[in-house]
Amino acid sequence: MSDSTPQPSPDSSSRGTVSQPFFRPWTLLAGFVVGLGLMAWAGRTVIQRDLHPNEVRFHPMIAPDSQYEPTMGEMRAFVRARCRPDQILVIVGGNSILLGVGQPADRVWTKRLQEILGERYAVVNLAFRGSSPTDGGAFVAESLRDEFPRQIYIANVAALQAADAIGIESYRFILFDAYYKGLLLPWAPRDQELKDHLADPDHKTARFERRLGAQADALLHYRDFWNWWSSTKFFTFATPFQPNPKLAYKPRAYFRDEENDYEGTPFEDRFTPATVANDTVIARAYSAAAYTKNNNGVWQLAPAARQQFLNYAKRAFPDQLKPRTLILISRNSPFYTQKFEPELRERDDQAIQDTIAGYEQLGYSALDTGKGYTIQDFGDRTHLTSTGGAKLAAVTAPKIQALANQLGYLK
Amino acid sequence: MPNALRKFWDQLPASAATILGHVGSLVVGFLAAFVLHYVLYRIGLPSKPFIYVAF
Repeated sequence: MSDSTPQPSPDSSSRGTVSQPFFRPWTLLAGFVVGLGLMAWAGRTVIQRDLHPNEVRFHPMIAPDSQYEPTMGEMRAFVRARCRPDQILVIVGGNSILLGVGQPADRVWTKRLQEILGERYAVVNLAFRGSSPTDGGAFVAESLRDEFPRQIYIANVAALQAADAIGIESYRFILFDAYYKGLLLPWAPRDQELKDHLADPDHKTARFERRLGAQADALLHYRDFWNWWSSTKFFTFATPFQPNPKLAYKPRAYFRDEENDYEGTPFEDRFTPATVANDTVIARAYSAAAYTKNNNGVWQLAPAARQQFLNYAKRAFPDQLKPRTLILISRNSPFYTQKFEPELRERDDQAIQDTIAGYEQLGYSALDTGKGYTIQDFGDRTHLTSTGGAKLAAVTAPKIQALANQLGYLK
Repeated sequence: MPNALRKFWDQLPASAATILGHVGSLVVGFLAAFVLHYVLYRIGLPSKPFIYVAF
């Protein structure tokens, strides 16, 4: 008689049941959601800390020049680490001129400005190469308006220049970051510009994706987390800006601010014949487009050009921030302007006066950076050497103090 | 699943298999979140550095 008791098949489990699946879909999903939540929390947390304690500005290895995009959280922490609540915050935005291109970190003009202004003020350099007055530093200052209500924002333009309220394309990631994290004031002209920017039919898909990315980042803080990681652990991909493979993956904190020193660069290397020919054309055109001479031989700004400039300047900053915004009007090097016909210099002067008048009419402060510079004060057509930077600081400091007084910050 | 692993899995007590399954799934979920978090960061960066020319 055979034993009819069923024998376990070789495939069945010793637990006496059908083999359990390893993956538990709901647990996996829960792990995914909790994981994202933890990463978001980590991003929010690590970015509270200043990632660049030894830096005076965002040099190329911690800027878009090397595919590193500083976040609002990172720049806000940079400011908090450098300004006490009892100090008047002076944020320097704008382009490479105010960043101090050609000035080594220990002699950059903003350091000199800090020395002149003294302990009562904290000067923070948030300028970027090629950025406009309404880019990074402007959004950071605006986002800190309640935390540091005694603040002055400085940026620079050429004569009759004003910026788009949404900045320029290369730095628009900062606007997206600030805007979708709800850090900015409501400002209808900017909202409208952004809406038009997003709706542009030629770039609609790419911009939609970018907006989606910024909205996702506002929830998940992945840019904050991975910038922290990239600064302190290792950079995760090679960038053409750092061609040495041994250095490509180093954490960005490894790299120092190694700005070129114009004062150590021979004059003939900075002013080559090709550069001089090109920059002469640019310098001569500084105020050319908008001016004609009237019957009395006085340079007159075309009404349409004035209106266009005023329209841009009016939209650039929210009304309530205009009074604390100081616009510096940058000039060309005397290497070029000394060779101009006198009437060309008169036209440039007139353009600068008109620019200042226009900004002041709208509620801003504005300042001509002046003519007290020598050829040696400029590293090229527009950028200052350290000595030129010291002169810029000397010209700007009294205006900042006067503005702080006018705004009631010194009470 | 390789045979040795399957054999090991099949021989586990039910409670241990359940716990291990949950823990493993949780870890894989975390890893997927970590990878997605990085991918979102990476695809948002420009493919080329910003080339500065004097402004």
